[in-house]
Amino acid sequence: MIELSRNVTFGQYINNGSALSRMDPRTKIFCAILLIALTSIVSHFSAFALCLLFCIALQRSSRISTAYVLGSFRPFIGFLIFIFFIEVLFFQNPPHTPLLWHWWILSISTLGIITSILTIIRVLFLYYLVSMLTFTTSLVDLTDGSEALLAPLQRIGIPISALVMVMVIAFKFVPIFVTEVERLMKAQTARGVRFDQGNFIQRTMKIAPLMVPLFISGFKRASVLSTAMEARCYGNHKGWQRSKRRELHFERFDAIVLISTVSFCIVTLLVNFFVPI
Amino acid sequence: MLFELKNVFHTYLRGTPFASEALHGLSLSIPEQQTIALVGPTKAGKSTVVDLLAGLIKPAPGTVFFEGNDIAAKDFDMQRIRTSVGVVFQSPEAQIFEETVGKDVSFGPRLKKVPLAESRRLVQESLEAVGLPYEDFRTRYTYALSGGQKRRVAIAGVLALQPKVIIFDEPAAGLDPRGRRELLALINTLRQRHSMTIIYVSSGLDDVIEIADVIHILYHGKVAFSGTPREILAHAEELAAMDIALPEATQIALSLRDIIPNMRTDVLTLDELEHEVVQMQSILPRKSL
Repeated sequence: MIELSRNVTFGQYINNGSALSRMDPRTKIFCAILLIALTSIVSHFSAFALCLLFCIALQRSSRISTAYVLGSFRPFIGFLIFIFFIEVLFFQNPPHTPLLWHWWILSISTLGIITSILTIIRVLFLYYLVSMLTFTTSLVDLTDGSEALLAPLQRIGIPISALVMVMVIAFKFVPIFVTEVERLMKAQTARGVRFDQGNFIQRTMKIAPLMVPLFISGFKRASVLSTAMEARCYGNHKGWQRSKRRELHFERFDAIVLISTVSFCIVTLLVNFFVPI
Repeated sequence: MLFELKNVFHTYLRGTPFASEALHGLSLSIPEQQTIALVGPTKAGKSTVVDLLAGLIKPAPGTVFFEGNDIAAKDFDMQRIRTSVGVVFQSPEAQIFEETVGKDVSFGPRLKKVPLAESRRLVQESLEAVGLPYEDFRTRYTYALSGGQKRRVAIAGVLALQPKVIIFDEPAAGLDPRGRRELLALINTLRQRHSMTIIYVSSGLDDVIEIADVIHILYHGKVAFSGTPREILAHAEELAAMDIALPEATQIALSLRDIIPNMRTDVLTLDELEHEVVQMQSILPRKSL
């Protein structure tokens, strides 16, 4: 109950030197976006089977324990099952579809079940792809990559580097906040609070006293950080531009990955639209 | 025996790529009504031991006995540990969350549903035990207190729970010399007047040499050696190699070994050191000094 950070695995970078973690972040992010788009377009089970094969290949090349990755799905399972039932029960059946069961506005039909299963599969793929991206990409890579990909928007006056900086700071604060909450929970447990007892409302009420010190320390950290940034001349002065210590390089491996991802997407789309059910 | 830890292991984030082992076969026993010091460099597993003793985590594998009962047993209520062990965590002033001193100190008793009159008495006693006059401080705002006062309020908050054992996790960190002296005096009072068991966790020997009955040196998740302050200081060279800060007198004695090879390092005070040096001088031929 106390070891919170054990359950927060989403988005923690694992530096194991695999090919995936070494590749250019721009290519990686771009490929991830392509694949996410693909899984939300396709609706044929054979196309999803192809995606599954691709994910298995991805999983192998990442060299991360499969059990660990699947374990990170656990907190979502209950939620997904809940969503699944809601979807099935409230599915808007077109007129004259044969219903398996019907009561008031609730109904179950084969079509509804199939559509809901597809939604769940999409969510699982989305979660897998996003967590795979964050497992294999360090925060620095992630921001460098997204900054490079979003750079064209800078031309039309959107402050991309500032937005990316805000994103980085938000990400960096997550583990700090988790540790802080852990510390506060320990202190309160030592003063007699029992977080593991009571019903849902009682437990929520126990979280409330954590908020005051958490916010105070959060604001303190934020103000210290902004002072530190100003001391290093971060700002939006005229002619101000950040240089990079580490340049991104597009290498042969990236080209191979990009080509294979794009061709995989095309093949999967073809399968999706031309293979009869 | 109040606490008995036998061959205890603990790994954080077990089963993930981030797993790190904090305790590696640690055995320790803590008798009642003594001041025990746990000293070790960073990453030695001190905070993990604190969490174990406070009943916040369970050992895996390994056994912990509390008053002779195995805490892993099915019928053992962890609440028993939590009510008898009070913990003053690192920089406890950061954990004050009520707006007035009185409310913050009475948080524990209120939660235990102690009657109002009794709770008021507890708050008064606890505040006075840490040297803050009740009438003056009861209605003060917590954010307007000085750092040292906040730390006292936090300690009073733990005392109000009437624990038998109190764990201090690096309580002197960040205090000025006067604050540190006052804190050590407070700990001594707690033990003598209230006959409490004190567990003092620290990264240096400086604080604990005066107050501890027994010191356990932790290193790499194990107890490296234990003993009275004097016995521990005899190992000065090993301690220095472990990056454990030594008291001033011991440091000087250790440096003197360069010219006096058989210089004793188990000197507790500067006076003792002086006495020792004078004695050595009379033994050694004049030339070598």
